[in-house]
Amino acid sequence: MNELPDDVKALLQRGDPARDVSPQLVARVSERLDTRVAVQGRWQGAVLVAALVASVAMGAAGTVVVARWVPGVLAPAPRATPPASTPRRNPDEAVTQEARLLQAAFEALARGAPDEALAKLDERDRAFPAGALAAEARVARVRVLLARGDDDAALDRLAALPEADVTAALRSAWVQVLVKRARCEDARQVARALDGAAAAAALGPCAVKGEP
Amino acid sequence: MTAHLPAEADRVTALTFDEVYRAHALTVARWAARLGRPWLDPEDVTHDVFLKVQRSRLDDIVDVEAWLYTITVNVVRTRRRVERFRRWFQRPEADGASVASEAPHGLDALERKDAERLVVAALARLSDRDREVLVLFELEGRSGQEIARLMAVPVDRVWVWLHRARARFAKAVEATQERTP
Repeated sequence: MNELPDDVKALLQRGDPARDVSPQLVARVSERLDTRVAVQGRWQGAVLVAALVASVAMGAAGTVVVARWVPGVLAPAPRATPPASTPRRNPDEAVTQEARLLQAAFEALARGAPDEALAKLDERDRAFPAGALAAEARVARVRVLLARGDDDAALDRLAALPEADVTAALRSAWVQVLVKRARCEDARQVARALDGAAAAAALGPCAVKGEP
Repeated sequence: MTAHLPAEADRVTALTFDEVYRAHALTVARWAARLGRPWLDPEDVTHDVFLKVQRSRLDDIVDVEAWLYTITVNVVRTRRRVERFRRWFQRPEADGASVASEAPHGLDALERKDAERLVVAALARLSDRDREVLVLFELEGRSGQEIARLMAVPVDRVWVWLHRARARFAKAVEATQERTP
């Protein structure tokens, strides 16, 4: 059996990528999981409220704290088929399928076939309602709607997009649709996040002279 | 070096999520950092792993550590694939930002940071399997038997993989150093 050269071994130890992994990280994850469980638990609000009332009444609030960690109490109920002790199925498969549908939508859009692109996006939404590429799918749908000239639907979806998903190109398109609708005030508002030249180009007749 | 419970301690009945989290969260976070960087944030990976644990029936699990390892590896692979697609769809993420999560202070810290960048870059050049076996043996100090248990393969295969992974890692370090001025 070969050994790592001493200098490489020392480098590996010194540059351990987990060097900064600390109990604080674990505590932060715990808080995130806790928050998520609390949010998921809202739909079971009646059960939660009843448990809280009962535990407070009995002076045993601690039982609630423990209970939140027990799977099945507040967390979603386990699936009917329990996971095997060695889940070895290919985790990439779903993402690959989802990406293929998205890619097909983008390709159809590039070919000038927005209806086909929309059909692919619908197919993706049906197959992967909570897919890993949901953000990309949302943006793609807006681009498809714009390409079809379905401005009302596009505007609705643009307004609902998270800020992080709105690229400069998409924002420019958004501004142009608003300008087309003579909604200059809204257009200027949306264009504020663009740089000066891009904003002026997108705003066209809605640009205010003297303003960047 | 990771402290972890011996396999015997995993063979308990009626595990609760809290028990699993307390015993294994730090180990999972270290796996996430070592297998996921520079692409992924270990905090996000650890979160995803335990989200899956939360949704699972724990009383059926025989070897909790091996089960968690498999989930971690799967989460890392899936998330990496998602990141690749994100980049492909031109949605730049904070790629590799987690490597420089804090500003280094002093010469020693700077050298350590440089070493970390070099190690992460060299590990990134390896295949998933090479990275896994190298991390488990060289960084976590696991025995061949333990690695075989975690990766669910015969131990002789672990030795073959380790032999190749070491050679490839040494070459990857060399290549990374050559590219770095």
